[in-house]
This record gives sequence, structure tokens and C-alpha cells, in this order.
Amino acid sequence: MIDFFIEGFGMAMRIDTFVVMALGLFCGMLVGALPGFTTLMAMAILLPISFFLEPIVGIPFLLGIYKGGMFGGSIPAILVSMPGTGAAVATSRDGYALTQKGKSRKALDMALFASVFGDTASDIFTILMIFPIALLVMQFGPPELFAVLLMSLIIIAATSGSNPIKALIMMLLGLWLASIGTDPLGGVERFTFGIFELKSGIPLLPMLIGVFAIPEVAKVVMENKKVRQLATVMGERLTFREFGASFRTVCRSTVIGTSIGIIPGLGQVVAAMMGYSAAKNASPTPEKFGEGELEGVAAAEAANNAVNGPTMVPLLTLGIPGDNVTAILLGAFVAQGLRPGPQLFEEQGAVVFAILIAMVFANLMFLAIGYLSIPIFSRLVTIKVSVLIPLVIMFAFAGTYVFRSDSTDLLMLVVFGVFGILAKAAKFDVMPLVMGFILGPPMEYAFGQTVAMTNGDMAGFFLGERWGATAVLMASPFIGYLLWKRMQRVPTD
Amino acid sequence: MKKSFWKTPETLFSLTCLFLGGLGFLFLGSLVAEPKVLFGRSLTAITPTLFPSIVLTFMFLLCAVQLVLNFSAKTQGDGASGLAGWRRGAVFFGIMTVYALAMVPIGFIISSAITIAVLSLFIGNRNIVQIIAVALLGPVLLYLAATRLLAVSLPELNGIELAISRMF
Amino acid sequence: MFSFSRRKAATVLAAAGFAVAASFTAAQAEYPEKPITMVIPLGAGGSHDLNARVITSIIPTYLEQAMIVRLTPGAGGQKGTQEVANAEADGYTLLFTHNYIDMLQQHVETLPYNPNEDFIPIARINYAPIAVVVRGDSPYMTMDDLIAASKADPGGIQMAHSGNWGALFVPAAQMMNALDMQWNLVPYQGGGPAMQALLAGDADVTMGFPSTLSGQLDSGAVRVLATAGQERIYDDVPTFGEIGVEGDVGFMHRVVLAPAGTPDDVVATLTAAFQALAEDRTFTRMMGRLGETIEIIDGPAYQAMRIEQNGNYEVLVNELTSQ
Repeated sequence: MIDFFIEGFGMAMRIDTFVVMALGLFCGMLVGALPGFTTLMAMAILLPISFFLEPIVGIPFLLGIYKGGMFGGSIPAILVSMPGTGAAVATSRDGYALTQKGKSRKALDMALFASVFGDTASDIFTILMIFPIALLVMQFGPPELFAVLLMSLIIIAATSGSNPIKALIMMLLGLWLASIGTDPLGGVERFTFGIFELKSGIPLLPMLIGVFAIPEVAKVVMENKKVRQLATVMGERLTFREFGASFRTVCRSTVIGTSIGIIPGLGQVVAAMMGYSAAKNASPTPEKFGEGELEGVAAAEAANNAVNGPTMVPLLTLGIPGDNVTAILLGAFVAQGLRPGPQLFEEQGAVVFAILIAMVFANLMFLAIGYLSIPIFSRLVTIKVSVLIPLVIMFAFAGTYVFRSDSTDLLMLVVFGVFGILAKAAKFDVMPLVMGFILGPPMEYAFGQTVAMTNGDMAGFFLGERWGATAVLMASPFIGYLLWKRMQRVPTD
Repeated sequence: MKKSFWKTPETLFSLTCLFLGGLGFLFLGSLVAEPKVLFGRSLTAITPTLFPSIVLTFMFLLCAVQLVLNFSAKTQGDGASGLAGWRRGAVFFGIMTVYALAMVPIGFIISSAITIAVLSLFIGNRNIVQIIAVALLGPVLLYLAATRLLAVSLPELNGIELAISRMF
Repeated sequence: MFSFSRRKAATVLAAAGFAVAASFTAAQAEYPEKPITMVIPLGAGGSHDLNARVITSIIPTYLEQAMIVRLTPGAGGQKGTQEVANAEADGYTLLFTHNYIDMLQQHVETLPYNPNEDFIPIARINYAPIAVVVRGDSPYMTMDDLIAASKADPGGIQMAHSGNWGALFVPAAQMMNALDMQWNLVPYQGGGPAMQALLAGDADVTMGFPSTLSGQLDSGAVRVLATAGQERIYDDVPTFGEIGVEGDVGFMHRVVLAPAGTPDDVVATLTAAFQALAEDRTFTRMMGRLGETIEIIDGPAYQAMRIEQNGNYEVLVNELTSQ
């Protein structure tokens, strides 16, 4: 195995690999910065191009797009509170608050550094521990997934701030909204009132943009103070000291993200929120989170990027993609004559290591690419509001339409926008709503699978075979309670 | 005290959710379809009504709790941005609703251009040249980027689509 | 002077008007003259998506216009299908789907369209036979072992499938019906997770298509117990027919459909393009790499199969759900 690694290292050191990867990173960042024009689509479109390139060039190209896209998603989240994916939601909170304080550049810088750190650390960890991770992945099935998702929701509600009851109400509302459409197990209709457009459920992107971005934009319009710009300056760049202050958080988030990446089915959203909640809990000033705390941005970004490394493991060792992105990578691998699966390392070990090593270098290159691009982006918020806001609305609508090519989504965007404004006025936080909405269906599905697996004997199943899941389920309420108490200790608004 | 309690946004919101939870639970049977049966066993291990009933019940209970807490707490009295603000908000959402409804019938470029122009004026831009420039260039550039570079489709009138594919 | 220039202006305008009109009409005679959209009613990254990407990257050579994939997942495939059913029958919107969504679904759901009347097939791209697999270290060495164990312990054997009425579920149900045995069917989000469940030990048996099985098979991680089709795919593995499951079981056909009423010349152009695709070397190479076969047959040939499938599925669903 070591000789494969060394050989792979040599193979990765090529100019064209690096150039193409840089191109991918940059383009990915641009595409990711447009909510709705998902990097997934960009990767799928560019997939055939990768067929014509050599594997050591084509696959890192796709990986570059993916990584660039992930950071790209944080850009609108921070600048205009418009998260394009669930993973960017946690970032948008503190990120946008920082933008309003004139520190958009710092926020973007922090997001970049935290992302790169989390991603690199998790990639290196994966390369070194790929086979033990593969064994670990196998241990997690539907019962474990259900338990962890439930625990995550409890943690999110407990750490949300002064009033967990309001947070829970919003979370439950989100869970209910998620159940509109067809039920994930049987495909029967729920709460659709016979309207066909609702049959596939409420789409995520219009909800995200609607509840996060539109109220902020509307607030500016409604207040109509003689505020000419969203932020007067883009601010200075992040200083080493500021990053150093958040370093512990970044490390903690990286560990959290990597662990979550190992459990199949959780993904970046859970990682970002767990990292954020953990940082909030560990901080001496948790009430500052949400008002422009750099640590919040760092925590969310490091965690959601740290998921990437372990996600590749089932793909490489079993040939089974864990999500849509790895599915595209699977296509790329197969088209290049690589056969992900048990044989992959024996037959093509060097190439695989080369690709993984290229992935690590992609992160480092991105540090430079991102850092140079940030000033351009962060300056955007200094455009005067009467020009910026109409353009933002246009992007929001275009992205919403492109997401599913469905014009009813545009109306949903407006409806959620209205909802978001009302919730803001009623002082209900929408983050638990979105989390409930995103995590509800996988949780219900996992629960349904679990019940199917028990085949009638629930007690024996849980206590005998899947004691891990049972342990997590038992512990969750306690953890929730402890976290809530911790929040109470610090005086809040 | 009673009057301000009933009118705060917080209370109204909680009340709405309360009703939602209650009604949803009561009418659950007619709102959720029955799963099919295979070989005499249900096709799904849990019924489609299980999760929604739990969610709606808890929502109802918690909203009730929240209302009680509200009532017994000190007055909230935090006015939202006043009536003028809400009026502006209504106009804003009106513009967006029209945009949402118009995009498919009249195409992306035209609807976006109109919306941008109207919004710019509404927010306070008085520089006509700037407004026209942004309203025309923005949608066209985005349309080109989306359809040519990203190969996704935006709704557009047939005539304009043909004209553009002829030009570029 | 004034009237002269006015007349001149009028003539110029009229000429320009005619030219534009003429160019429009002349252009519209030749299909295709703008990019074609191929709607996929499934999610991104699946094998369907990958097949489509390969198709849409090669076929522009033969159509001289781009073909753009539009993913429209939702409602088990109904959303994308409905979109194409309602689209203009001008050949610029096509549907890339498979037989379970196309012909089976109408018997388990009330659909907002009629698959039999609202669509005509353009080309069937390929088809794949499914295989019953167990883990390499499982005690079932042959299909007979598995059947015997299933009959002895009804509902005790866990089968992982990819979703109700999907490509793994239907053959399993047909098998259970024909052989009078019961498996406990546990749903997963697709063929990949189902396979993973098998490997992890959460499931005892699952099914898979050859393209996805090859890696696991070669390493000995899984064992094939039976395959669909008339002939044996692996020498020592029986076919479904041999073990007692007769009929059109376990085949997934990938097919391109167009809205009914599409003009004949448009259909002819598309059919020709797809036929050319079958001969294209790059296409063959890429599909081979994806592990997919190429068995392109044209619309009318597949339409006969569709009608047959329709009848079969109706009978099947009635049988399965009436007990």
C-alpha cells in the first residue's frame, strides 16, 4: 500500500492536473455562488468532458468544481443572507451579521480558512485511515441514523437560545411542512389537498431563500432609512490573531464533521449545525452567536467541509455512492476504466492515491484562489442598495426557477418570504424550522426502515443487535437538557 | 394588558400554529391517504400518519404552553416597524408576486427587466440611465450565462429564444 | 421631398419586415433549430442520469443541436413525466424514463396523465436483467437453498429493495408470488444503499444489475443466485424461468419518449439520430465503460413491448394487491 501511495504522489505532480483543478475550483466557486445553480448540476454537465481527459486530470477537475462550489455557497450566505444549501444556513447567521457590521471580508476569509482547514484535515485523515473507516461505515445502518438524527434535532433545539419552546414549535412546523407531499416510505399523498404541484413536496431552495434572504431584503426596503448600502465597507482582511482565537473551534468542528461524515446519510447540514451548536455551547459568550461572531462562521464552515473526506470512502471501497455528488464521481471513475469497489486499490491503487493526493492539493490551491477572489465578492455589498437589491431579487428568482424548472416554486418563494417576515416580527427563529424540514424526512425514513427491520420484535432488536442506537436514543434527552441548562446559565436577551 | 397581549405578532403567530396543529390533527384521516397492501401486509412498516400525528400533537401542546407563558410574562410591546413600513412591505411583496406570476408567460428577460426597473425606483434610485442599464444588462447577461454556460433553462418567449440562439 | 423619403422609408420597412418573416418561417421548417430538452424524472447522479449524460454528449453530432438534460425528480417520477405530457409536441421536449415508471405506475397510482395515450416511444436505449444476490459468506449456496429457507421461515429473510414498485421491488414481489414464499421487504433509497445494506449484514438478500455487481462479484463479496432472462448470464447460475418464475420478470428498459402528436418528420429525424448513436464508436466506448449495454430499438418496435408490459403489469398488480 505504501508503494502505491508513493507512486500516486509522483503521478499527481503534473502541471495539467494542477491547472485544470484550479480552473475547476474557480468555476465551481462561481457556480456555487449562485443559489439554485447547484454545483451538482455543474458537475453533471461537465461530467462528459471529464470522460475525454485522463483520469488524473479529469477526476480532480470534477473534485475541484465540487470543492469550489461548496465554498461558493457560503458567499451569498454571508453577503446577502441567502444560503443556497442547508449546509450554508448556519454560516449565514453570523456571516450576514458580520457583513452588516462592515466586516464582510473578514467573514469570507474566515469561512475560507475554516473550510480549507476542515477539508484538508479530513482528507488527510481519510487517506491514512481509509480501510478502518470503511469498516466503521458498515456499522451504521438505519437505526443508528435515526438515533443520531433525533439527537441532532434535540441538540439544535436546546442550543437555539433563550426560548427552546419557540425553537421547538418552529422545528415541529418544519417537520410538518416536510411531510407535505408523499410520504418517504410508501409514496402515499399527505396534506396535498389534491393539488398536484404539492405532490412532490415543498422544495428546499425557495424555502431557504424565502425565509432567510427575503426578510432581510424586505427589512431594508421597509425601513427605508436613508441607508444607501448594505454595508459601507467591506472591511479589512482577517488577521492571524483572529483566526488563532477560533482555532480551537475549528479543530473541534473538524473532528465533529469528520465523525459525521463517517455515518452514511447525515451529511453536511447536520455537521454544520452540530459544529455551530457545539461552538456556541463551549463559548463563554453564547448569546453573541448570531450577532456577528466570527467563531460561529468558523465552526459551521470547518464542520461542513470536514464531511467530505469520509464521504468518499464507501465510494472507493465499495463502489457505492453515498450521495448525488459521489454518484457523479462514480460515473467519472467508471468511465475512466477505474472500478470503485473492493478491487480498486489492488488493481489501480496508484491512480486512486494520486487522485486523493490531488484532492488535498486542491484545498491548498483553493486557499490562494479564494483569498484572491474574496475582495471582489465582498466589495459587492457596497453597491448601492437601489441597484443591489433588484439584482439580488433577480438572482433569487432565477435560481429558484432553475432549481426544479417549476414556476410554482416562484410563488412558494414569495409565500415563504412573507412567512419569514412575519416570523421575524413575532421573534421566532427560522433556523430550527429549516433544520426540522431538512432532517425530518430522512429521520422518518430511517425510522420506517428500522421498524421494518425489527420484523415485529422491537425490544429484542433494539436491545440486542443495535444497542448503539439505543444508547444514543436514551442519552439524547439528557444531553438536550444539559445543553439547555448551560444556555440558561449565561444571561440572555 | 389583555389588548396588547392579543395583538402582538408573537401571540398571533403562536395562535396560528396552535390552530394548525389542532385542525391538522383532527382532520388527519382525510388529509393523509391510505397506503396500499401487498399480500395482506401493509407496504410500509409505519403508517404515513404516525409522524404527522406526533408532530401536530406536540405543536398544539407547545403552542398552548407558549401562549400561557406569553400571557403571564411582562408585556412584549415591541412595535414592528410601524404602519408605513408594513405598507412598503406589502408593495414590495406585491411586486414580487407579479414577478413570480409573470416570469413564465412573458419570459425571463422581460419580466426581470421590468421588476428591476420598478424595484429600483421604489427603493429610491433616481438615476434613470443607471436603472435602464441594470434592468437590461442584468437579465440578458444572466440569461446568456445560464443557458449557454450552465446549460440550464430559463423560461423565455419563443421569439426571443430563437433570436438569441441565432445571434450567439 | 418629404413624401418621397416617407415612401422610401415605408418600402425599406416592408422589405425588412418580409425578410425577418421569411427568415423565421424558413428556419422553422428545419428541425431541430434550437436545443432540445431531455427531461429525466429521477434524481441526479443515478445510473439514469449518467446514461443521459453520455447520450447528450454524443447525439448533438447527429442532430446538430445541443441536447440538454433537465432533472425533474418528484412524486416517484410523475412530476417529470407530467411535464413532458403537457409539453408542446414539437420534438423539443423528450422524456428519458424506464418501464417501471412508464407502464407500471399507472396501475398503482392515479396519474394525472395517461402513459398509453400521451406518449410515443422514440427509442429504447438498452435493457438490463436483474440478478438475485446474497453475501459471499451467506449459508445460501444456490437459489434452492434460499427458497427453502424462505418457505421455512416466512418473513424472516430480509430483502433490501430500492423503493416500493421499483426495479428491485417488482421482481421480488413476482418471485414471492410465483414461488409462494415471503420475504421481509425493507426499503432503501436506491440500488446502491440496498447493496450496502446487504454487505453490512442488515439484509440477507437483494438484487442488482450487472453493471453494479461486477466489482462485488469479482472480489467474492457477493454471490449471484439467479438471473433474469431467457439465457443464463453466468454459467452456473439458473435463470428465473428455471427456478419457476415465468414471464417478463426483472428487466429494466431505458427508453426515450416524446409527447403524442409529435410530427412524423420530427420523429423520423430523432429516430435516425438514435440509430446513428448505436453505431457511434465513442458512444459504444463510453457506455461500455459505464457498464451499460447498447440495444437500441426504434419506437414502433418498442411500442409493441410497451403494450405487452401494460397488460402484464395490470395483471401483476391486481394479483399482488388483492390478497
